[in-house]
Amino acid sequence: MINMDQLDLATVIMDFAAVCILTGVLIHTSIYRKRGHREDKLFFYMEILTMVMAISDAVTYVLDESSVPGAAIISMGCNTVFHVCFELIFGLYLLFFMCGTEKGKVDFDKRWVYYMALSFAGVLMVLINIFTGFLYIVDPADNAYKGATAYNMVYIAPAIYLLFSMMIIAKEDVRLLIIMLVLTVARALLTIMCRGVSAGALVTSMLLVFTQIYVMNKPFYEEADE
Amino acid sequence: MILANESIVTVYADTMAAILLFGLIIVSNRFSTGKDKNASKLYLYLCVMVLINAVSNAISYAFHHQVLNVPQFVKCIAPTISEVSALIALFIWMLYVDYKIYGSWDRLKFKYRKYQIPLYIFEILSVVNLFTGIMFTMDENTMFVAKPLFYAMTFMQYFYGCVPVYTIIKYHMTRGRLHFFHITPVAGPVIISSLFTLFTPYSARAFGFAIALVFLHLSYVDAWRFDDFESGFFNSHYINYILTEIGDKKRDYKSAITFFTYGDPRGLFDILKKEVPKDGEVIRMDEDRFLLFSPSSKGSMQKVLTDIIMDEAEEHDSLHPEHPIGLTIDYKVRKKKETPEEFVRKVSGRAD
Repeated sequence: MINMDQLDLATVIMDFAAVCILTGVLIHTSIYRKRGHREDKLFFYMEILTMVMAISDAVTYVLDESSVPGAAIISMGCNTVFHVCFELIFGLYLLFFMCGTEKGKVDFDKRWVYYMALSFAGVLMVLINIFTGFLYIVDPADNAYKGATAYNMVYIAPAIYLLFSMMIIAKEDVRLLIIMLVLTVARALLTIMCRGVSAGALVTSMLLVFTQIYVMNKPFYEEADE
Repeated sequence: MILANESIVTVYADTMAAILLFGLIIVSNRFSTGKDKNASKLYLYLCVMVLINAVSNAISYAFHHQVLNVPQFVKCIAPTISEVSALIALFIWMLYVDYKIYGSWDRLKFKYRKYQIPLYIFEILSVVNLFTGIMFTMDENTMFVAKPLFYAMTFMQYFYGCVPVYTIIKYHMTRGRLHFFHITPVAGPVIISSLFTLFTPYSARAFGFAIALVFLHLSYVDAWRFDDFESGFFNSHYINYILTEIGDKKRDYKSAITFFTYGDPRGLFDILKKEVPKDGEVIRMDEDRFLLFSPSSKGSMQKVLTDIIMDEAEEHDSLHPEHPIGLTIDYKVRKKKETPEEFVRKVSGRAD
């Protein structure tokens, strides 16, 4: 019924690792959520979205080209969920760093909707795809995922948000910027070298881990300077 | 060169491990703060060894199912580095856990000097293996062929990996939970990846270990903030955390006991750990002042506890006259008009 090859298995393992990493981060960040800062809440939303992304990605790879009844519909649903999360995460990531800047703190309540506009546009695009298939489809004949020529449009909003995040972080902590660049390049290279493997959720979870370490390097209640 | 599908899982996992460790080494502040230099040194060596293991393992698996016209010893270089670095990493891991718990470099030198012997033996055998193939060889398709001696080295790797587990369990049983140390995120990835490597053709040990090291670092930072390493109690910054929880209406204290020592406070550590209920949180405010808050205002219960502790302290002083504790105890109950926050600030001496 299920027809997984080695590449599908590699993806499922990467997604499982992402879920494990994020579960651990959720445990460790409970103390930060208790602070009640806006950034901590944004970080929590990003963690949840990444976990959902990893789980839906794993399900699509398990069901890809399988003969499970209803696989096409489930797979299409999971692909939609995956791409919606992907569009939202990086918008929240930019908001997260902006909350740390003086201008961002002032602007946030009034303007967060505008800052997230590209993310919302990306989500709309993914939802429209359900009816038009201009980004990707899941062929009911063989339950196989097929990307369309316009698929690269899903990367536009996340790429722009990531770029602006890097510009903010370049002034705050160069080390985190280096990690962001390494992860982005590694993701791109691995995608080229192993086309059938998806590690987007894992790379995003690793990015969140290093972002959490960056947060932890700052004072919690001013005691870390001692 | 095209990666065989079987190699993709391992190469991917090891690449992710390498990125995780590289990121950990450069993003983490712990190596530069100097707060606990010996532990930081051990942790850094551990990260570097696991990084070497990940890279060499990835290279080794990348050439699986490839026909290479090179001498045997060249084929064996990457796997040799991978296995030796795994052995060294697990040895350092054993030292690191012991040092973090007991804090004694001399104890490490004394207790673990015999454990070094198998390490050195297998390192020498691994180098000898490059030219003799006594532990493992690589066949014509560059696939790993293990010999009995290799399994002996694997046994030592698992032995070094399991000793810290025993150390942690023993600590838990005798001295209670390590604050802010969540065992599942550290042990879980190591166990899962080890089982995965053992029962499948793939290798993900380095990846599991890298994830464990990340969570170890997160635990370290959390503990560093609020733990007093000498006593094992909370430090004075924990009061800020309590005040936050009081603000969230998650805590409500009605009484507090303050323990003052005029002698050696170390004698008091064990007494408090033994007599204070497990859900009680002792906070070390200063070198010689300890606080214990309670949600109960029942003076009778607190009196029983303070009497027991006082009796034990006096017994300690009589048995160890050269290191007396010199204990005095103060007990305060929150007044009706006082808020929990005001009470905690008053007792702890924390201003607004």
